[in-house]
Amino acid sequence: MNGKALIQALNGVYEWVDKRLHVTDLFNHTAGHPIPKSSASWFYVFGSATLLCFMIQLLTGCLLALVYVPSAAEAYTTLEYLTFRQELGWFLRATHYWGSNFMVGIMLIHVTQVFLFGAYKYPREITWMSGVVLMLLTLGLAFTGQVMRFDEDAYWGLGIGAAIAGRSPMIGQQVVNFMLGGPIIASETLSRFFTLHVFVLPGSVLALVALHLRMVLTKGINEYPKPGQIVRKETYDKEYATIIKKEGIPFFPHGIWKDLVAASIVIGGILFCVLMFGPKGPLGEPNPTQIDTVPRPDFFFLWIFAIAALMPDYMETFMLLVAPPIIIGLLFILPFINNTGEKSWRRRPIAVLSVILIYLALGLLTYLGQTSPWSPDMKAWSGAETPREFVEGRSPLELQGLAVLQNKQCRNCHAIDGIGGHRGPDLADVGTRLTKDQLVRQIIQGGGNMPAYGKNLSPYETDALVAYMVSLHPKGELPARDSTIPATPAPLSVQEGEQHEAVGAH
Amino acid sequence: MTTETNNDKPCGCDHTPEPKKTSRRDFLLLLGFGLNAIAGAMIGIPLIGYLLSTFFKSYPLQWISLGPVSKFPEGATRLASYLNPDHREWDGQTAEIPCWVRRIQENDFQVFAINCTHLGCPVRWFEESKLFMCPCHGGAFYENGDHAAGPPPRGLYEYPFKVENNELFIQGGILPTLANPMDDKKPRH
Amino acid sequence: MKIAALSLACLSAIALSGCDIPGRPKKEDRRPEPHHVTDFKTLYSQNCAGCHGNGQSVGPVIAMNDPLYLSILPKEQMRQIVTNGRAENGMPAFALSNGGSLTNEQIGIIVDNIYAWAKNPPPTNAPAYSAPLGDVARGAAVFAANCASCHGADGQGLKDKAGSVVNPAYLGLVSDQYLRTITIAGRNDLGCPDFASRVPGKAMTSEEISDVVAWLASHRENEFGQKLAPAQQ
Repeated sequence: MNGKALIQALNGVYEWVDKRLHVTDLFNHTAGHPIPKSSASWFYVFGSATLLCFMIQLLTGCLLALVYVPSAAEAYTTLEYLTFRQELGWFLRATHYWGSNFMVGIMLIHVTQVFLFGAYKYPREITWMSGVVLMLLTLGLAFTGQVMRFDEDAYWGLGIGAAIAGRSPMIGQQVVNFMLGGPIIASETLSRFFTLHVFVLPGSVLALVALHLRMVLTKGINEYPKPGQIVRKETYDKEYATIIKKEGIPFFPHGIWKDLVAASIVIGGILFCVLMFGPKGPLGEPNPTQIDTVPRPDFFFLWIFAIAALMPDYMETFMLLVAPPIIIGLLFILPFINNTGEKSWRRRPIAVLSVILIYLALGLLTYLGQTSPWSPDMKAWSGAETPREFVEGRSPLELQGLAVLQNKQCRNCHAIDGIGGHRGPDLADVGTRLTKDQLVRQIIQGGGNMPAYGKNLSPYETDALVAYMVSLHPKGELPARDSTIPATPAPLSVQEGEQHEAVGAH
Repeated sequence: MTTETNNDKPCGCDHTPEPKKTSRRDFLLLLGFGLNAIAGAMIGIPLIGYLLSTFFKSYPLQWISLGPVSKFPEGATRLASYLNPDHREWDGQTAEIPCWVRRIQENDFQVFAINCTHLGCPVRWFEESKLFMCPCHGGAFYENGDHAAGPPPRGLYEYPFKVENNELFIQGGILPTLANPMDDKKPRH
Repeated sequence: MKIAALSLACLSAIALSGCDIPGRPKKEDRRPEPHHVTDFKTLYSQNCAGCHGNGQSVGPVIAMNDPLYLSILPKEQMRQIVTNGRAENGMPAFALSNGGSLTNEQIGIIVDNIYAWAKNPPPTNAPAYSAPLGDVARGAAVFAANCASCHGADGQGLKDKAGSVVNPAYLGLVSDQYLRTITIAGRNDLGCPDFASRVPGKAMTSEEISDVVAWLASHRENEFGQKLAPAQQ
């Protein structure tokens, strides 16, 4: 059989199939659809990269489900089995973990790019709205995925979720019971999060991705916006048709190669993280009676953790329950608030400013969530050492004061020269800030987010503690003094520094 | 939507269009919709009932033994745990629920839930400073469960308790939240 | 293509070898349950180092690697102290059964490893760890001979040398045993000499130490400034 005959035969087969399946037609309407030449840009690869991550998640998720057992009694055992005994189980777990991180991250870039390029404006409203829902579903997948890693963090994370749900007015208890599948975190809680994570959310994502892509095909991909090109409802469709006619190129193969390169970079990035950092956890067993634990959410929810710590308590319920729906609602109806006009970010300073502000805020909150200075260091009282210069040269009483400082768990919240908890102020120079009387009052009465220690310190313990703290001032700096009592004049520079501290002792 | 286009086509049957308001075909279509709505409801309502069963069910507190009172030294606060009365066989470790038992004297107890009233993290007892501290957002509570510092909106959740035949019982079996705190303490604000 | 080939190579490398991939979890990296931690370093640094220092750093109370201290305190007694605490000195109880956070096994690991720091052979002629209080009047003389050069003739401390040892708050926070222990072992890490080197060539005897502790204890007051008889301690 020569080549020509073979090609002819294959052509025949293709035509036969095409007559029945309409493959050519399908191709022309999907992968081969025309896009504006300007849209074949590196800025337009993030959507397909997010989808790629989702595909990786589907694949690795299915494979993990071959071993994982979603039961409170077994989940942890199977996680350990996957991590340490199943061949390449760690690789699968790591790929699924890093795939999720990449998915959330790239999705955020995608949303930001779409926002900055004005792609949500007429006539792509539904594309944007389906995208907002996809974003929520992705975050939902990330949160429920944390629960699948059923360790102590997952257990207490569910507790936090229940505590937030319990703040809803009127039906709080019902919502908690519904969320947990009972009155308490137990196996049924894990089962329902498993159902969400494995069936409901991925299914919804698939359906919405179909809608999302369908919109890209019917209304076309956004052209690369040029400053001064105003979107008007009356003329836009015609203008877009002209662009496609004049400089349209088929997505396959002229546009897709950039997506393919981006895809390989994403896969390479995931692989790099997998090999370098491996899977996360599992941390300790989900044993509620094992309370020697410091629950923390995964990276992408650290900012919520930070908000919960930093909000004044009277606005907390509002921030946790009311603000998110408002923000999401605003995002959802954004195309109707701002339907036409400039698309280019160069002519939309408010849009650019809000993006910068949102990312600064999220970045700062995430950083704070990572360091969590508001959390007491539970082991500091018995484990945090004291630098030599804060021990040497102290009298026996002052040394006992330091012992009291350790024993009474002060170090859990107060560092000395950076060592210890960071909830309260560092005590390394407390002697320059507070006088003896002020120290006594602060310790006995508490205040400013410090508990009152009056009942739990004997007079001698207070004496010793205060004696030690008065001794805490850097060499050359005078201790704080009561400004109502005339003192021998100190050097001017020192006086200035302490004036504002040394008030209201009596 | 296909029915609409079909209506425009000449019909093959001998039935001629009449000015009647409801044709037989329209009626059959409505009947079809109606039958499916009924059948759907018959299947759907139980499905929704199954899904929402935990939403509408109430879980009354149950008396649970924490063991003999001698387990708890007077003047001390100790960690205890009980088996969730509503547990399933496949609950594993999660069936074991911890709580803090403070024996003030003799039969005078306070039993606190482990969960911080802020966001439910496990509070830890520090004997020397007589404080409960929360590792999440730094809430602190005094020995008697009162709010001492930090973001928690109220004092620790407290289980109702009783002592019978030198055995300590508490009324529990739920995860306490602000919506169901088990006690009647007032929030700070 | 290059990246794809590279990934492929990497993948096959993983599949073929159990070689050192940094991301691959190792069994020994698994974090044990807190009650199953058996590593002495971890246990010591989390539970002891804050007050007793870690060998390099110094703490408010005696260092655990002081060979003299380890030679006078029987191991079993240290185990008791860690288990039950010493309420009179502010040392908390660490055993789970006493509301602490350590299992008996963990306490055993800590104590055993602390004694591994002891010098072999132990310092000789060390006075007994505990003894009854001695005579107050003799104690005053012992103090004048051995301690006054730093703590002052009246024990109130000397500027730039050492602080008061007769401060009622200080004496109210430490037990007689504490005073005895520190008189024997000193605080070599903070410059306070031990019993043998206060006066060169003339080590303090066990009786002298009992006497000086009695003299110190006689300075105890209650919080209203009234003297307390030693029996009330």
